[in-house]
Amino acid sequence: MKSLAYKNKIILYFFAVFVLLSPTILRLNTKTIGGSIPYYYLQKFGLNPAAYKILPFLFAAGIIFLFYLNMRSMRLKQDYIYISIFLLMFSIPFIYICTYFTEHSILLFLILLGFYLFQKKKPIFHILGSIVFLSTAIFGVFAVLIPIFLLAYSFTLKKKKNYAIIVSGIILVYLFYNWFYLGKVSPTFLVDQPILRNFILEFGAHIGLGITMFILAFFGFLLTWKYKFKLIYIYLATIILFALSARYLFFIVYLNIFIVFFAAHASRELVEKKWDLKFIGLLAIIALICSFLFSAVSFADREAEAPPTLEMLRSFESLAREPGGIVLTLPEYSFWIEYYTNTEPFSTPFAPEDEILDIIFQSRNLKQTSELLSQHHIKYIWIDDSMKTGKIWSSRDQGLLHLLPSKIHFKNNYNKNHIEIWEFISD
Amino acid sequence: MRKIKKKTVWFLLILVFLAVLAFRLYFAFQSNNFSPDAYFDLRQINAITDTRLPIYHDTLSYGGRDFLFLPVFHYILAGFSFFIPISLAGKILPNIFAAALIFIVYLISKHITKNTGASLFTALISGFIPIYISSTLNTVSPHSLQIPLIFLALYTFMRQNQKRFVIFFVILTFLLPLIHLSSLILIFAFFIYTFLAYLERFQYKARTLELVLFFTFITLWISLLVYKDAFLVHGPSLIWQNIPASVLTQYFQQITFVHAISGIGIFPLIIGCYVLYKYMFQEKRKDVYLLTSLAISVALLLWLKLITLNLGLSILGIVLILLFGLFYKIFFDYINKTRAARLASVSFLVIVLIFLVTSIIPSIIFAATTETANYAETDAIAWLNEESGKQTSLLAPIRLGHIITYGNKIRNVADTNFLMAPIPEQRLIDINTVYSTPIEIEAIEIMDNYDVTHLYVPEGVEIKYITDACFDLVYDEKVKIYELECGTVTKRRK
Repeated sequence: MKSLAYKNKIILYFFAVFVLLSPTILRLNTKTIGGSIPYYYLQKFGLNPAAYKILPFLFAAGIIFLFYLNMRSMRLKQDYIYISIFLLMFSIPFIYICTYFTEHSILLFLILLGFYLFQKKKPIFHILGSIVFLSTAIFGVFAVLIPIFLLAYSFTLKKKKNYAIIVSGIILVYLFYNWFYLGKVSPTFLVDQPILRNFILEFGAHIGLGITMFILAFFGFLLTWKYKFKLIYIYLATIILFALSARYLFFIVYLNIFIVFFAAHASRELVEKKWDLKFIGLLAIIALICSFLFSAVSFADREAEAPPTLEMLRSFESLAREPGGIVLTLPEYSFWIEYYTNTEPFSTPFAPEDEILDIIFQSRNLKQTSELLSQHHIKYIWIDDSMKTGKIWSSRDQGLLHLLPSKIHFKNNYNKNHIEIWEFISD
Repeated sequence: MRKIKKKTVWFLLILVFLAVLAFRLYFAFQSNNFSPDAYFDLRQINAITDTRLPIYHDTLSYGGRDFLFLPVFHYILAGFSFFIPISLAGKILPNIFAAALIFIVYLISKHITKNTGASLFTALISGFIPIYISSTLNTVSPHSLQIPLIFLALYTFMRQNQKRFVIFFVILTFLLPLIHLSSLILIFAFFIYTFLAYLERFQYKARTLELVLFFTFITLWISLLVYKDAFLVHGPSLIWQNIPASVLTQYFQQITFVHAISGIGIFPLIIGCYVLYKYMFQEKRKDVYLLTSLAISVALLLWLKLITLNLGLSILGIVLILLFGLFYKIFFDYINKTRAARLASVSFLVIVLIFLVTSIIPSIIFAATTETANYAETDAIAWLNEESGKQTSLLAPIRLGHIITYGNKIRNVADTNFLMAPIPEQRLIDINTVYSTPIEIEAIEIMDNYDVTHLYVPEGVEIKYITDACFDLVYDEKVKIYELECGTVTKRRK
């Protein structure tokens, strides 16, 4: 079994590369990029869609290479390194950053580079490592969190306890800052789902862990408990990243590295275990690989089907032709509106304006609604099918949908494929 | 004691099997119809036969919705429907599967009692568990295959020392979760068994743990893969299959002593409980612990209302009958050692008589009173199927939902497949309102809301608001069907 697992690593790596590319391959026939968050980064980095699709691969390749170098410099066993890389390539958060270019691709690359430099013996590398770690601060305060953990871990590996304690103090300050102020000081995507749905892809997480990976990591965590003081910073980092991931979307990308570490530990135990029923062991490992694959395929499929659809693009084209004005729609659609129509959305995920949105969408009081629309200079209302079938309304008699037929205040400029664009005519 | 030849044993077993099958088929063919819910499975089998694929997106049920179910059982029946008509396959095959339980019960009983007579008798009784008969007779239910396979998995698990049984167990591990979600019960049973092994410190081999964990992983994984979307939509209430609160108690009933006696039979129930006590607390036996674990897990799940009463009592009944086999052996071993040995035949006759009164007679009653759709209902819907156009939508009581869509032509407002159904609670309320309100406009508004074109009026039901102006009586037999002549839907159609 062990030989089966290790001898076929080329095939498995090939397979993993294919899985990593699959979300992009499945979407090759469309001009769009799946989901709304990538459009935020598309505008932020000013990239064209083709470059946006290529860049994440380059960074992902770099991350895998640095991950390998880091593990080797930590003198981990070859089979452990092999399993870890395999698990990393099959992990959903990694597939996400391999598909969509975000600042987190760069950050993860820098963090691994910095940590690798710190593993080196020569002082020049330590200086370089410090520079790399410090450079992560460009992306915001939250970005420095993981480097300082790794720094502390690096000091414990080298048995420099005093340094480790000083770094621990810094960690505490940063943690306090991150937890309470992160959302306020830099634009951060929040998550507001129940905890299981937030972490597990199969339960509906946006960027979640596959359920098998999650369970394996849990067992790996238990199995490594015997090294508790040696791995204290790894445990701490995992717990803190876990807590932060429950609140902020992209922390799971960093948590994933630690999850892979624990899952690899459990997987190795499975492979190395002396099974009483060898073929059960073999089937269990095959089933595990299949479950990783299924999670990845399910994610790739979801991303391939993700909006914006062609019908949406047509409606955006129509909206772009209209004279400018603020557009009212759901906050998660705001990046598309900005990107495709060059108009300003009323609310974004960073400034959701929940209360006002709720009143405008749900009120059947024409006077109140038109006052609010005028007050916030809203000129257009963009509505799609999902908004009319449960996301906001469930029948035509509800809230704003009920008011829209009023010809004095609203004019229907577009109504195709269940997508409607209404113009607000203010007094 | 005289030893029975292996050939004779199998001959007797086949005789028992044929007797049980004949009993089942006699009652199954008392009506050409099936139970109302069976029409869902029959429709899926029809779809597989015609298109090789089950219906996962249905435009008729609830006016359009997605189905989530495991199709292996339907594929098996569809396979046989190439040789015999589906209506016949739906009657015969589930009953063959269910009757085949006697072979598995024989094997398990033989394994734990090492007594051929006791095992044969146990196999015979297992063919007449009233609740198991009623829930698998005319229902085309996956349980008719799933329950025997659960016990086959248990048997192969007991015989894990031999490689061929391990291979069988692995095959069943993949097969069971593809037939019905009830394979999750075995996970509970295996974990209770592991816990008992820890408490009682009996031998628990590494391979046992490997098999338990393997079964758990595969079953959970397959179930999650299939029911992932339902989990996303319904969350943990998936366990209750999104059944509306108003009808939930009909599906997940609280188990009572009366239910247990009538469903299992008083004799196996009392004797089984006695043996359970004896072998749990006095003579500790690994195999009995395994059966006990299954009984405990089913009892717990029933108590927590996590499984249906029919399924729970069927499994519980089979476990208690298996334990009855042990009693049979102990009893006759004891009698044969005493001066009353010559009364052994009389004792056997007494047991047979008790069994006749407490199991066979209740089985006959249960079989004769099994719910099937009556001809008045099916004829009326079949008539509408022939007469109606594509846009027909019939509002009828929820139990007729699957019969309405069976003909692949008429839409229903609601049926009993609640998983992934759009707001079933509201639809149930609305259907009840249509039948109970005295106000015509209220009923028409509801029917308009669901694009209803026809209203089904069951036998004995009187609807006060029906007038000639709005309702045209198009079918007038024991049940009535009215065509709606008012409302926006009708205007659109015209």
